[in-house]
Amino acid sequence: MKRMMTMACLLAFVAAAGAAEFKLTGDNTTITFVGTKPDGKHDGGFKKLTGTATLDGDDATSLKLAVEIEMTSLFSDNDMLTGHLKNADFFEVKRFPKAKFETTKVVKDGTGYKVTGKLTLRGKAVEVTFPANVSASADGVTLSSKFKIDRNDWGITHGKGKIDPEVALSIDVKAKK
Amino acid sequence: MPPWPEVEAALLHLALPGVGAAFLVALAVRLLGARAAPVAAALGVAAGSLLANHFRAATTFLPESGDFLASLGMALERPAGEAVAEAPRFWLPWLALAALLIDLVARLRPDDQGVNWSAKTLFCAFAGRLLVPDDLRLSSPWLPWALSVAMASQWAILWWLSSRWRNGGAMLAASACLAAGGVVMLHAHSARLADFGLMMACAVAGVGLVGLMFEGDFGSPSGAVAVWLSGLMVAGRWETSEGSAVPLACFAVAGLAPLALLALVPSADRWPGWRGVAAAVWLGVVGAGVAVGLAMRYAPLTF
Repeated sequence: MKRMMTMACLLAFVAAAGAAEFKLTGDNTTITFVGTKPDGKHDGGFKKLTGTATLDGDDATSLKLAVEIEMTSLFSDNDMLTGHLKNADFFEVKRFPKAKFETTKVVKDGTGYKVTGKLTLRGKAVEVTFPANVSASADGVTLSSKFKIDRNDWGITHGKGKIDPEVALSIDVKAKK
Repeated sequence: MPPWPEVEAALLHLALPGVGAAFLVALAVRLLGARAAPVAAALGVAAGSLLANHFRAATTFLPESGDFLASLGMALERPAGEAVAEAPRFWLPWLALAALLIDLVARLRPDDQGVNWSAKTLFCAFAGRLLVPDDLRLSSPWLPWALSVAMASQWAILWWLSSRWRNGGAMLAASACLAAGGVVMLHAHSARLADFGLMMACAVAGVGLVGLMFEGDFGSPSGAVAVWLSGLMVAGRWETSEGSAVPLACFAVAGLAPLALLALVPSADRWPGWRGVAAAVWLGVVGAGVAVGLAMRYAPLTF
């Protein structure tokens, strides 16, 4: 019994030692978006976020991301648009001050990876899968990805016919110990 | 000035339903006489706003959770855990509908003024509590009461003037205030809340215009107007405070603009005709103009 306990403690210690955790902030992680309409486009993003990236050794498929985005930190290339995006027509930040993303699966896909997770916007969690370049080591993790989401999936339907439903997202993570 | 397609859509989807509803009100009063005016006016405002909402999809009538009573409980108390209460604007149509019914019943039973005003006051207290979100209730405990008093006062003034004048003057003035509320919301960058103000403004304006053509008590939308305008301004200020430069004073002026009509209450009996209508519309437009002017100054729109 004593030997089993020792073995269990040893295994737990090895597992803990193998899993590295990196803190994510608005400084080492950028999330930007491009919204388009028939006669133009607008750039924007989020300045503040918190979260963690955990890894087992340098195995990128073990990557687990958990990010909380402060929706009030939303910015865009136009102050009027920033105000509009924050209110009930779009993100409704007063009621939903935080958006969340949590990975559920990372798999190898050709030379890169395919990341699957739940993105919660306006209180609604929707599963998204996107391609990403991931590099992982004991010292840090980097992830970059560009993909599109359909805002209608989260009930953001304002401007139907005048604003494109697809929004291009760019994620760039450079987290170090 | 917004681009023409936007103006055209607003005319088609906000003003036209109001005109259509007004036509039905006029038809009802023409066929059934002045006694049908209170019911026709209430139905006209309800139909005009509902039709406009059908086109603009400003609000839904069922909560996101699907459970109406649970959502109501959550809005009245602090939501537990990660639950998120419905936005205050969600309750506006339901409260306006209830106010229409209460006002209508009160007009049909004019002998029980004590009971009528007790019911209206209690309803305003409930509406004030429901329309002020949890965090505002905590930071400003007086706000639900202030909102209730504002609603009850506006209701009383509009009721008094419309029952004395028996024309559309009070409703036209109220319509100008509602339109100002919509424009303020537009400057606060909320198309949805602008629609809230404008769709009710158009429906009430339709009833007011019919009141200029036919004699009758067209003031049954008074309660709905009071709840809608004051509630929209509180809910709108809360919803847009993160991304708008529109000052608090602007929301307050727009929300309280119908109180300017109090100046006409002492002389209501002496000005029953066009003079009263002109004075009411002028006061309504002045209040509305101040609110819109402030919004334009602090948060100008560029198209």
